[in-house]
Amino acid sequence: MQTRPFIQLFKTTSHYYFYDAYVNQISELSAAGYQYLKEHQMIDCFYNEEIAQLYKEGFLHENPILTFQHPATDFVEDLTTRKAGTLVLQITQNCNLRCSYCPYSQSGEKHRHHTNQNMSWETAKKAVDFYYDKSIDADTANISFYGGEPLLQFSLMKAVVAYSKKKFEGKKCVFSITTNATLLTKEIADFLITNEFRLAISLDGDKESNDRNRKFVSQKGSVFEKVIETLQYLYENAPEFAKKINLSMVIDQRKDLKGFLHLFREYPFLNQMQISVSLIEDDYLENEVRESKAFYEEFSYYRFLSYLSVISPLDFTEDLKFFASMKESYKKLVLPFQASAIGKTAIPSGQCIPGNTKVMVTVQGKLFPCEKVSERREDYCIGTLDTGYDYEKIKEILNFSRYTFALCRNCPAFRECTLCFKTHGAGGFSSTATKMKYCALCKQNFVEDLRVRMYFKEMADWKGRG
Amino acid sequence: MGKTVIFPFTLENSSFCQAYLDQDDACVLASLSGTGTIDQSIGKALNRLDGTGRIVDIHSIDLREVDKIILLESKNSELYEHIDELLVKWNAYQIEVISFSDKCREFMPMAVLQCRDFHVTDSYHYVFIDKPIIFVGGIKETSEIAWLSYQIKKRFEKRKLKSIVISRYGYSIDQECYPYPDEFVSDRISAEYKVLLLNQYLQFLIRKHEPDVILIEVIGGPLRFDYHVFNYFGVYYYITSQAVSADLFLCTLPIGEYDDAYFMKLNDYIRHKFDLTIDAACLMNIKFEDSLSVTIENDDEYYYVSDSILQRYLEKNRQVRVVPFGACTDESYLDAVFAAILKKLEGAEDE
Repeated sequence: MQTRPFIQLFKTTSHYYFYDAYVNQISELSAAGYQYLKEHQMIDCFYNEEIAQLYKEGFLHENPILTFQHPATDFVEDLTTRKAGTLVLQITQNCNLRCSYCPYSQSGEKHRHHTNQNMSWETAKKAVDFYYDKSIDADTANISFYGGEPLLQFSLMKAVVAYSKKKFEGKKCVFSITTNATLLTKEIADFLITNEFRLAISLDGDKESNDRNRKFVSQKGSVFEKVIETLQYLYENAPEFAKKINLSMVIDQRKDLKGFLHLFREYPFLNQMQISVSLIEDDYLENEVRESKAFYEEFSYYRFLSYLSVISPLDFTEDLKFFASMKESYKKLVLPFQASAIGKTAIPSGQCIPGNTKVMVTVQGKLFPCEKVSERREDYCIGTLDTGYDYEKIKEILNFSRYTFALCRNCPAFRECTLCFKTHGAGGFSSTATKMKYCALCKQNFVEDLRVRMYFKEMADWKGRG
Repeated sequence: MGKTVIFPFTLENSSFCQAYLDQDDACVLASLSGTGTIDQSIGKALNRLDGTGRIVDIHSIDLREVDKIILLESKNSELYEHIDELLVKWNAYQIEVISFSDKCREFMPMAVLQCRDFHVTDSYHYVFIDKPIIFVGGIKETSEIAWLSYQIKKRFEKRKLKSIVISRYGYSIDQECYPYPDEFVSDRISAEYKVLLLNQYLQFLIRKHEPDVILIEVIGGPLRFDYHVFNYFGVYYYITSQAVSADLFLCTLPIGEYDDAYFMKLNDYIRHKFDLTIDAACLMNIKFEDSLSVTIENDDEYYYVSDSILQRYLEKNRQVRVVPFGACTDESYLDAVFAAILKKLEGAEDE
């Protein structure tokens, strides 16, 4: 009997394995078994004893998927009308910085540009009312301020906070803001502290690294100096509040990591804060961003240290605070996969539920699933405050993988896919070039994670043998 | 005679509030405007069909018309942010406040809960309870088990049979619905002691109230842990089934697709673990959000789906034969479940 297994082969330095996407499990193989599976897409279930036994145990079965449908498709109306997630208010499209990698700073037409448009009070109030009407089953109201630079509209922010607290009396209101922190005065800081805001502050390393890409509109003065002064003020005056600040750090993968590491040595108080790290995304930039050799080598080294800190008592936290979020994500690699079979209807993981996870309201009152997608694309717009949600669009976004059905259906990273519809980039759903780039990276990371899982296991087995 | 106000109405305590409203249709349900429940009926708030009564804003009530306020507990502490001011205001109008919260005792005399007379007197005194016992539970624990137990209790009352309920979700002496004893859901006492505690508590309630039947809303769920279901590892099903044997088990289910194989496997499991089988399966209009977390917390998030979705899933599940299966909002189904309960209890008596 013949079968076409739904698997990913991989090996460590000493063992051979395959990950079976049908049952979501990893199994070890002999070298000969590995070679056989590598050379044959279609296999004989009873080729030899090893293959027959694996087949009997439920491995190596065919991919049963016939259609893609997101499990939330049937429920999306209730989810969006009763359990709205975070409301993101784009209160201004203006910004006092011109960061080189910012999508809004580009001259092309892939994304909107910085403008002087601000959200009116009427639109902001309507957005809060809209959100209120759709959150009866939610325990908390989460309202986030975004821009441009939202502190340019601080008075509107204050008004929205006051209105929301009154509107949501009886529910916990959690406010957050993504800011460059260059306009954070004492008055604003006191307001944010009093209202227990969650701050995401952008800082891209030490002065040299940060100011390389992050510049004031006037091109004069150091953004870094302003931000570090603000962070120091917050830490000295409200240390418990400051410890909850999320430092959002964009690594320029064209350079090395020295600037980031230097930052934490020079300002050790920053180690008390939360840190999230990302690379420059070039979807909306004119030119591709390629990582340098120096970056790759350094990043790989610190990633290796992160792996070690997961599985050994060695403590690299001083140098690795910067990689703390990576370390947290690696911890899941010591947990086994939960065995389960895929059905005939399935969909790759990765896509959130627009309107339930988050909804962004633009200055004009348009609704988008989040702040990371191009506002120029009408197919990404999921409605307006006046007309409500467009459920056909939401369902299309939920099931965006249908556009690459043939490819995604046969991908062993199906269950571990991290891609959402924004990976279609500025070209929209019919364009897959950007998605393919992310897809290749996602698959690469998936296979690497499989390998790391087994390295962890091999090391644990080795330790067990004393 | 003035009105009774119940505050705060929440989706969690909705069955308790419905019970009060059924007994006293002049009773006013109140909440805070931020909850999104104002101006809705209980049914509408639960995304079911509209019903009578409307939930009002507590600040909008004319206190001159109010005699009594029943102050409920909720895990949402935001509902009590201004409770001090409210209590002072109610005191000024000489409104009787019945509360299960210690805070209110500072301000006015409280009705002492009869169940607080209960103390465990003899650690080793265990009795086989000979009253009819009905477990009401869920595959995953939700406040909807209180809804189901109330529907059954209502029917017992119509038949002039006295039933009492032990519940985590809403309790009232008037409604003969009692909380679990203090410490039952805590990590301060052992599982063995909890078995004795519940057993003696039941003995106490039987002596005091002489019910014809007892409904126990079981805490947690019966299933073993997986990364989407916490359910206290099924521990409370075990403890409760050791404290008392159930004659029937009514099980609520969230929206999903089920079949005979599922129920047969489930019944095998719970028969083996807890000496239970499902006597009725009740599909609720609740959908759980997929948990992305592998941490152990009992904060399963769910939301209420519309009646059209409920009906669609009833249709998808119509092939289920091994257990009586129906919708929580279907009165004829609930009547049929009750008829089956009576038949089984009468049959047990004859034995």
